[in-house]
Amino acid sequence: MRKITIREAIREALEEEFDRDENVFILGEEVAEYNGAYKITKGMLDKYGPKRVIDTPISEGGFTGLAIGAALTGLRPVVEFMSFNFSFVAFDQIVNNAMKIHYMSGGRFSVPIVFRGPNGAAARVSCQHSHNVEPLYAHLPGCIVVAPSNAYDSKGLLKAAIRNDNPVFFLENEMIYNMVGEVPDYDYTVEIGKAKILEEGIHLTLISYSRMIYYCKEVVEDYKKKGIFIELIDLCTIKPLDVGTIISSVKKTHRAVVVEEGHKFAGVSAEVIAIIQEFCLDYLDAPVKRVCQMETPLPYSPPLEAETIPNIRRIKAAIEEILVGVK
Amino acid sequence: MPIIVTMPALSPTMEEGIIASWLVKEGDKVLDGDALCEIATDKSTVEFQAIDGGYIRKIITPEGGSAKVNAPIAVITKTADEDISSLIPAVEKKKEEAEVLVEAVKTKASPSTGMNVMTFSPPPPRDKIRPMVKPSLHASPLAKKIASEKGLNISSVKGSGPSGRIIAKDLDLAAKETISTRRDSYLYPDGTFEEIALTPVRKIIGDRLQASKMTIPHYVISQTVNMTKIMALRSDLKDLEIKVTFNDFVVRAAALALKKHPNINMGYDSAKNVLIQYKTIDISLAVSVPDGLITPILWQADYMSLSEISAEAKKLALKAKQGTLEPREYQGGSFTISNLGMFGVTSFQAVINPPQAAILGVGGISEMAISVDGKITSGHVMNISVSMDHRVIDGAEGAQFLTTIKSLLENPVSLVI
Repeated sequence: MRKITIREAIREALEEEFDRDENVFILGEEVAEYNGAYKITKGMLDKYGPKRVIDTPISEGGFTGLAIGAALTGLRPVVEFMSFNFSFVAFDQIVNNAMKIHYMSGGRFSVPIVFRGPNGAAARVSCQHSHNVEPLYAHLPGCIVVAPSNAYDSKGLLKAAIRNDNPVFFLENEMIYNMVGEVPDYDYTVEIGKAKILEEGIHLTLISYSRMIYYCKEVVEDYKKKGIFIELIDLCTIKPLDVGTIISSVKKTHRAVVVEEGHKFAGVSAEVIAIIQEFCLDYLDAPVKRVCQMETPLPYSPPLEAETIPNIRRIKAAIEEILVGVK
Repeated sequence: MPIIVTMPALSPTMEEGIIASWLVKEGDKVLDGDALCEIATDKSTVEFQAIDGGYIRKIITPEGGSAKVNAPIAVITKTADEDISSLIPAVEKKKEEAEVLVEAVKTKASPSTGMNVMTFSPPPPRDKIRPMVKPSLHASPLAKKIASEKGLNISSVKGSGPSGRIIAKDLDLAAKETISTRRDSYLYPDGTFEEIALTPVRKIIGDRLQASKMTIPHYVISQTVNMTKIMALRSDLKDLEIKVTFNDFVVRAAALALKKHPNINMGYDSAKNVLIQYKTIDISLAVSVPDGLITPILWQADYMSLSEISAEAKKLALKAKQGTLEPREYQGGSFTISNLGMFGVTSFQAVINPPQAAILGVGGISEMAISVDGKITSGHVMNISVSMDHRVIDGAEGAQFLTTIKSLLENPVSLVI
């Protein structure tokens, strides 16, 4: 099977949906003439013209509201935030309009919109440009939050997101845009709301998503050499959470560690662990641990940045704590 | 300083003890732990040892003598010649007081009937040899779940998990829970009990039946009744939508039998020592109620038809269960019927309900091989027994009465005409 990068996979998803449905269009800062700040939309202006690939002023509140209005009238906009940190400028449009109109209109209006862009820490862009927004948006009802970790899921989930009639947050990560993965050349989508078991194991369940999956994979490989088999779950969708896959796995392994790039307090890992204790208490042989971003604004300093976000050493330390007595 | 040795309390119920034998005599030197004497209580004879060593200076209670608990029985001094003369009068006085007290207690405890009422009290619970509060168990939820499912004694293993927590893997070494280890989880020490005050109902039942069993010379005679015909009759009545219980038949039979044998329909007044000849046949029915039992009465039962008996008995039983019986509905009666058949008992001997002189105990109906006209066949039988007061009714009279009941029940047409 051919191998492409996540960046290419996202572009393919956009182009295929552009071709499939003329109501799909993209807008955002630098998406047209500049080919996208991260080159996701490279070549799309030439291919689809300025009516469907629209450069906007630096005005998230404005163009997000514009896109929500377009969605209400039957178009299917894809809003590119140069990074999800800038979505905060449009927070009111997103939360009070995109996520609420379907409910407030008694179901008469849908908002089929995709908010996409890089999320989380990049490299030395400091705290204002390194937010993980998934717990913020997933906290509120009226939206879907997906955060794929590989090219196949990125393409399939973005296509599913564009076809979905709800506001969908499609969270990319700058650090993994160049990760290469197998992607088929036929039309496919990936079901929203399904987690994937990337590695089967028996001793512990490691749960994560997006960029952190790559750290987790290394950890799983290292333990495999020691005869400890860790089951690795890629959540893929943050909301709605795939509760079934999580609890089936923990009931099998009796131990779990959740790795989340974002902050610890009221984060996605907190929700996952709450679900585990609710459904798996009598199957737990150890407390469930989480490895998250430290409780501090993300520092600019490279060594401090590397220590603040989860890393392989911290993931292993958490695993060691609850593997005591197992081998 | 002289030491006064007193009568020990060797059991919680002990009030006084008898010196079965002295193992020392006045002037002997004893060490602590030496046996001084043997003390007989109401339960056993126990060797009594010196708590302090010294010289036996005076034996106050002689062999065969009794002393109340804590009354002085001997005096010990540290030296052989310590002066105890000042002590003697006080000791003697105390001893007299104690003896007077014992007498008083004896007099008070004697029942007015002149009979010795035996008293029973349970032994105290055994010592708390095991910790009664279980230490909190440091085990994972999974380990606890598996241990409980497999019946493993989780406290028998050492935890290898974080901070010594017992994890599932540790249970490989856990012993199957056995009787001895399971004892650790007992809620109470062996022999634990609580005392429950008598409810008024239990007090009345106790007083009446104790008096009955203690003062009435009971005798019991039994018969086996072939119930084949009565079962067929009951089934026929059922087809006619007339529902009667087996007990209704028994009541009807007893009423007719009492009419035929008025010498059974009697009582005994223990206060006046006179016989009572009841002129009416009033049958008390023993009904079990939540806090005891009660005996509502079918007045003039010999005038009642089977269906009247059935309806009235049903009504009374319901009122008894609801606790709405009025005194006139249960006070009195000339004869009692107690039926435990519904509990599957084969037969039993009922205690007479005084001042009545007889009570009929009815067992359950069971299917068994019976001999009819020399042939073994399957049939239904019921055991009935009647307890009689021999002061009132002699054996032959009782036997004739029971035979009449048997005959009526075995030819049940007589009960419905």
